[in-house]
Amino acid sequence: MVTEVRIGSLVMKNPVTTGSGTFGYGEEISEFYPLNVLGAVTVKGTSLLPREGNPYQRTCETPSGVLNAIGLQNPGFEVVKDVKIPFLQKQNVPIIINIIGSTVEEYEELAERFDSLPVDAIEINVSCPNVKAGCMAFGTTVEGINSVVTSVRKKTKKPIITKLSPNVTSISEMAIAAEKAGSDAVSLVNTFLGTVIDAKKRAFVLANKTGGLSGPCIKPIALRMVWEVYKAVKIPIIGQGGIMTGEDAIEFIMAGATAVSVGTGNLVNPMCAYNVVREVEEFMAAEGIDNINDIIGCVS
Amino acid sequence: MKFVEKSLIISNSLVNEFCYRMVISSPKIAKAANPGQFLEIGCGDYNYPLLKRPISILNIEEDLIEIIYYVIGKGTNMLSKKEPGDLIEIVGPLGNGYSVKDCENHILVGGGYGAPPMVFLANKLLRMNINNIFVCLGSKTKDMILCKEDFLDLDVSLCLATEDGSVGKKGFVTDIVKTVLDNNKGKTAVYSCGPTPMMENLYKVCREYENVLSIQCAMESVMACGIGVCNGCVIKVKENDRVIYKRVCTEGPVFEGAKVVW
Ligand SMILES: Cc1cc2nc3c(=O)[nH]c(=O)nc-3n(C[C@H](O)[C@H](O)[C@H](O)COP(=O)(O)OP(=O)(O)OC[C@H]3O[C@@H](n4cnc5c(N)ncnc54)[C@H](O)[C@@H]3O)c2cc1C
Ligand SMILES: Cc1cc2nc3c(=O)[nH]c(=O)nc-3n(C[C@H](O)[C@H](O)[C@H](O)COP(=O)(O)O)c2cc1C
Ligand code: FES
Repeated sequence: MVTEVRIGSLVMKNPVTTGSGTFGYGEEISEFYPLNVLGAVTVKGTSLLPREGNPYQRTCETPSGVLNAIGLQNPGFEVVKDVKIPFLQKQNVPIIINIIGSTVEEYEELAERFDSLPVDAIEINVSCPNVKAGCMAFGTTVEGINSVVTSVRKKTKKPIITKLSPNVTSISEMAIAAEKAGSDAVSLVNTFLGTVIDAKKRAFVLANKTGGLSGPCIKPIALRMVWEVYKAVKIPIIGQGGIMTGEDAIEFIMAGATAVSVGTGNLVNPMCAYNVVREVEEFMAAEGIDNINDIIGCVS
Repeated sequence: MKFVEKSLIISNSLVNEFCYRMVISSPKIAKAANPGQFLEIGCGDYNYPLLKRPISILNIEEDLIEIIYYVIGKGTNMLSKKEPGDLIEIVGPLGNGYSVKDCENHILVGGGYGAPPMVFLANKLLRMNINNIFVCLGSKTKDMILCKEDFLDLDVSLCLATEDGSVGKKGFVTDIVKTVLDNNKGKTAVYSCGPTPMMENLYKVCREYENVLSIQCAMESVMACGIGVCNGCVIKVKENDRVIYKRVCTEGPVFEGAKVVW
């Protein structure tokens, strides 16, 4: 049975990675299982300098989902280089670094710096809805995506994955822009902008007022978007949005994803991504699928 | 080591009008746990509600873990409907618990729903042959004092306070802690759990005593993962003259009161 997939030159032994921001830098989950069972680990959005993130309250449960406004809290490039990457290297698992910037120059600088480090792919986050400057502002226009991806492309030969926001009228147009600018793959979707109100307090629940919605509640929309993008571009897709089980993952692959990532699932159960790997294999065995690549986009 | 364990419910019964006491068999988590640590408990079925709920450990005996939980919203409501023989998914043990200090006196303070972890801590101190343990519990009324019976069999000095005076001293738990401190002058460590305003007040009272070397406070915050991956559950903490965010689920829930930005 073949479960290996390729995202540009990145080889994943199975199609399962993790959603940036739901897996830290792997340290915590490595207390539950060895990380090399995964196809790759995608780490928290990383900026040049440390970011302290948004004020508390940052998360809130919603029906079958989670609303978050973490605000990209992360320790910054230097700590990631000196502490987090060496740790992940020891785990013997491909590393996808997720980069964030407030300006095109910051993305460029990060791409250049990570290019010389032992990371296997660079995911450009132009889709975080929870920060004031940059990020999603780039990801919601063709020009924004074009300028960030073109600049990053100049600085690295590593596979580039552009992470798309669903908060747009046509996600296919954004995917096409990323492809044209030289992205090796796209990942979708990031979270949907939303909010929750506490009626008794007449107040927003999150300190940031709005947040990004994730989890099983977004799965049908994410799946539809993967299908649309699959029809629009030739580059591989990493599908995500509410994947909790192997069968969820298979649905994304059938809609056109080459790989998938488990995000909110890790918050619900630390073993979730591990279970998805196992369940994908079980599904393939039960359905007589010899090669996972045979079912990419197979829905009729 | 941390575990995700399918755990068998042994009992689940009402303690007073607001809360339940549950005994669960969770051998791996039970062996690894320390006082002040907590569990993430799957309260529903088929991922509804989606997130697990953080609940403190009351005590551990062999493979069995005891908890007390208030029925607040949908999660704890669904948990209260579970029956002996049902299985629930638990993640634990999580966070950093209390660190036992080399002191003459140990004052354990439980305000309201903060009493349960003190049972586990008192048992641990006694197993370490530590004496001079004072347990101070406070609540609004007599009926809302939790875990009183758990301490009666233990070799500890138990002091109670209620706001309406229905049992123990009339007033706040901090009042009885003050009395204990006034009467015991050796090096002292304070361990606390309860509502944040109570712990803030406690911290401010205790720091006036030079012989109090440590005031540990178990903090609360809304969590998503409970295991340190989402950065959701942060509070402000002082470190090297700077104020930074720390995760309650990972660097906490127990923090030194002097570090917390109240
Ligand atoms: C470290 C820690 C230990 C705790 N130990 C205990 C304990 O031993 N006994 C006990 O009765 N309660 C304890 N709590 C509080 C308990 O977690 C909440 O009462 C519970 O999550 C409520 O869930 P619900 O679904 O019934 O309420 P809902 O209001 O429906 O919950 C909605 C969301 O808000 C969160 N939430 C609601 N109240 C709180 C709260 N006070 N603190 C943190 N999150 C909250 C829930 O986890 C959930 O994500 C503890 C909290 C923390 C952080
Ligand atoms: C708490 C939290 C933090 C997140 N942080 C990031 C981030 O730093 N960078 C990023 O690209 N996506 C981030 N995301 C989005 C996820 O990676 C994922 O794209 C999205 O949640 C949809 O997938 P899911 O439903 O499986 O979670 C975050 C999501 C959550 C829930
Ligand atoms: S709840 Fe996710 S980091 Fe603490």
